Amino acid sequence: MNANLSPEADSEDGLDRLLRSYFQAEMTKSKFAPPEVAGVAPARLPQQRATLFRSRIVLALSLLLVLSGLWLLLGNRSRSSLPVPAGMNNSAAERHDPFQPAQPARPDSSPHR
Amino acid sequence: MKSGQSSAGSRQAAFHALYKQHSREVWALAYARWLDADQAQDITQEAFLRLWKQWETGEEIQNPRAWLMRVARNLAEDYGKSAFHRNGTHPPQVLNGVKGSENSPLEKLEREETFAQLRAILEELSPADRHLLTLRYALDYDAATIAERLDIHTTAVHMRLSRARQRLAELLAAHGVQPNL
Repeated sequence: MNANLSPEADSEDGLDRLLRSYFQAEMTKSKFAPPEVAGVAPARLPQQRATLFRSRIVLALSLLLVLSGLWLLLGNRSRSSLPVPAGMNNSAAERHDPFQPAQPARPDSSPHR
Repeated sequence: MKSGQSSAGSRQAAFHALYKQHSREVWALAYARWLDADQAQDITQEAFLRLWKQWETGEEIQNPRAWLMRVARNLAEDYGKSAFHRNGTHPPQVLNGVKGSENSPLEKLEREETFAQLRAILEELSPADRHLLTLRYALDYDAATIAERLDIHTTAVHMRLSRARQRLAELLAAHGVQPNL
């Protein structure tokens, strides 16, 4: 019972020897030499950084475009809605409203007068 | 400039030390998964190369051993998903039990055949049991070290080793393989 519970404490049997020689032979197939890293730089990093930088520039430019477009638009609108000096242009007062029914012309003299 | 060179040199020295310390365990993990020494070696190299690249990006790795084991485990799983493995192709030495085409002495041939049979039987065990056996017989770790590495109790190591050996003995007997070399 104890032999089963602690295999390394006991003398090796046939299975132990077989396993040991098998695994040792498998290990010796592999050469444990560290990979050559002297010239290995992170391959994707500079490219990733360049892409990130480029996308940020594009984002900033598009934001700038959107903002300047908005500014131009608002500028035009505010210029058109500036108060007009009295007497210069009364178009707003005289503007014809197409949704209002036409008013019948009134006679000059009032019957109550 | 000189300090940059010396820091690169010390980083390489640290890398080599890490390789010396953990490469066999990483190999054992990868080997236990597919029972292919060459593949295990490739996975080990790749895991360490990735660690180096991680270092180069300036990212700190708190626990390099755990990091390496995780990467090796993922790489081994990825290998299993590859077309090569899915098609069930094995390298010739696995199929024949003979490495290369050179004429081997009879003893070597018999030994290789026994190893090929043993490899086929080991494939019937769970990867966890194979990992345990690899640590025990390839790296020659005792139960206490295995328990520490796998973060399990020593009693559990004894128990699992005992069961794995028992199962192996049964399978060897069923296949008519004599364990005595």
